[in-house]
Amino acid sequence: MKAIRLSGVILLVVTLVILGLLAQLSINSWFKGEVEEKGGEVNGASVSLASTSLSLLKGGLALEDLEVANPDDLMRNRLQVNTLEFDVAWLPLLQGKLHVEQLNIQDLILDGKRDSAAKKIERSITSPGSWQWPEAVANEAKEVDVDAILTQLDIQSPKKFEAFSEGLDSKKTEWQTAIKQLPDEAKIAEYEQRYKDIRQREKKAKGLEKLSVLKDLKKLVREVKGEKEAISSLNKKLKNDIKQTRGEWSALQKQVGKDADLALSIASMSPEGMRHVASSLLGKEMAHWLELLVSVMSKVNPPATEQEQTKPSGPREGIDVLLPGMSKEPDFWVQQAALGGDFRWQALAGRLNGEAKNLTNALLPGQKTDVALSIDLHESEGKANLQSSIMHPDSHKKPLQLSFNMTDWPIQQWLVGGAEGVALTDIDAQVNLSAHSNYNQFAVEMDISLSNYKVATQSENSAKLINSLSKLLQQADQIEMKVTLTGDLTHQDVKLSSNLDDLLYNQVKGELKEKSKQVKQKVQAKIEQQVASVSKKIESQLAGMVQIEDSLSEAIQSLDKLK
Amino acid sequence: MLTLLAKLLSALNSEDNPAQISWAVALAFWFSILPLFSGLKWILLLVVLLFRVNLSTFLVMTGLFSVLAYALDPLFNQFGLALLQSPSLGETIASLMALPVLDSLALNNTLALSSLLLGAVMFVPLFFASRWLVEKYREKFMESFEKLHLVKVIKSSHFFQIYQGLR
Repeated sequence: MKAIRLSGVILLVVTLVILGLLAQLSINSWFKGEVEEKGGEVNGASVSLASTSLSLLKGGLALEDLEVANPDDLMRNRLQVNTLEFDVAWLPLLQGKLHVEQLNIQDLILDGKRDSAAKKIERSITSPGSWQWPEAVANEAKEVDVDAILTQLDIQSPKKFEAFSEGLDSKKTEWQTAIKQLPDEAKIAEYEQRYKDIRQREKKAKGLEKLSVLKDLKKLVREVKGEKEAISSLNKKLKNDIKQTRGEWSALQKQVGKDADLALSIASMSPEGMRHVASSLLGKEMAHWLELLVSVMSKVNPPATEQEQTKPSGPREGIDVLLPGMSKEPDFWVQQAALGGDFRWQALAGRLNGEAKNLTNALLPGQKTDVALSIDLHESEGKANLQSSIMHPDSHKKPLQLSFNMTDWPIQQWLVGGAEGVALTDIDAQVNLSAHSNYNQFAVEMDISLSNYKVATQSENSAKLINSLSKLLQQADQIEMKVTLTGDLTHQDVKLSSNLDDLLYNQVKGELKEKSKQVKQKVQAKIEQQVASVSKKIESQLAGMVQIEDSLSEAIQSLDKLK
Repeated sequence: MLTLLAKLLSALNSEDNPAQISWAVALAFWFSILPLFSGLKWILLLVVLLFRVNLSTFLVMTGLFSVLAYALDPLFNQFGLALLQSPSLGETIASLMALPVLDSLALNNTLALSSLLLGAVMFVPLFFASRWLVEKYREKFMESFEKLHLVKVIKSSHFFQIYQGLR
């Protein structure tokens, strides 16, 4: 008896052929439907696929003519790929993991025209951390937050008010010590009594006795004169002190205004103010790419620290235990990817070359995710290169690094300052972008240099500023800009500097001028609120000082009566 | 299902080599308890198809053992977890999984490991036990079994008639 069954071999072959045919018929239409339906929901507009073909033996799937429509312009595609082939590992697929061993992308068209309008689809997947730039940031920047400004400032008023009040207290003590040396009311009354007594004695005195009375009177007058001089001198000092203090107080009260002015000047230089400038002057296109970059960075998360599951995810699925030296396999993993063929973006056409390794939804310890992409344009010297590497945070201090550069890249049109702003056309752009992140924080630096451009204002009724910007751009040989974007997932700062800095600064001032009066009042009210209690104390201290002065004047008057 | 049962009966009652039935039982047990993502499951299927193993018995027993495997799922997980969490065994399995072919066995999975081991341990005893049972059945119970009402009903069924006609 033969151990091997011929019928089994035939059965196996027949089964495979039937499965293959069934897969070709069902999986192709199922996959096409899934890509179009789910892709459309994610994209917000039609995603279409001309055909799919499945190779069971290779475990490969090929998609032909994938078109991802632009939800903002339904007559254009965000992305169009001629052929997309991927070889899938089957065993991980049975565990619900999509591991693509090789992905090939042939011919890429960005922002291409569509033959017919795409369908708008309600987006079902939204990113909670999505950074709506520039609109949201610009709106935020336009709203000047008084409290935020005050926290950025070293407000001097409250401190100075406190110090002034303390100064008054010590001055009062000094005065009181000096006053103690002066005759009090009882002493003055005593002088008055002595004076009356001497006068009585003078009336009754005769002969030589009168001489003795006059001698006593002379002595009393000398004593009173001495006391009066002391009182007058202190009174004079007090009057001077009070005058000086009132002057200082009046100057100090102006500090509130100075603080408010300082607050406003800082507000116009604040990141919010600069972000506003960036959003209104850089243009929506540039903002979009920055947004995309930040969004991509925020979505690459380090793997979870919890290494072991304790419960299986479903029946007959078991628990994957991480053994020594092993890392958790990601649910989505493209091991190798190659990109090639033609490239088109709007009017630009060229050749595209690229490769990527380990594209995953969770980082693999010890394995680097690399992407390298280069584009060479046909009709110009334009080149673009992108290099990025992402590593597990355990293996590097700055695990996410990206560099992008464009040389002699022709840009047909760039709108600066919005729809009624300035249009730069036929630009030669040089761009250098570098970015790194440690997952908690990121930093993006971008140097842009634009040259050989033509300038035109969009509208004849453009604002004065736009007209002067237009003139400045015409005079300048080139525009150089440096954009720095730093922050974390919740807060981002944009810093912009360029050879047009002064102009940008004026733009900020212009933006804030309308609101400056209102904001100043708010700031002033806030500072006054902070110093209100000290201010009240100082006023009462000043009133007390005047009372002292009054009592001294009274004492002088009483002594004057003795004449 | 009725046809499969009929085929199983026919195999048991025929002159077929009891080893073919025993191989089918042992392989069906191992095949059923392994999870889908274990490469060994598909290798076993290939073995069943290529070698002279009684297919009807394999299919019927696969159905029965699959129900058993579902019911014993928590026990398999506990057993596998205990094995994988023991440091010495964990390291051995990790080094095995670094080898190119063995990684398809998904040995770091509690279910894949425990079912592979249990299947391997039970394979030979199941083979001999089922062969002994087939032989004992043919010797002592076949005649009285064939007289049972249920067996008569199955044998008289339309499917069984067709099956007999095809043989």
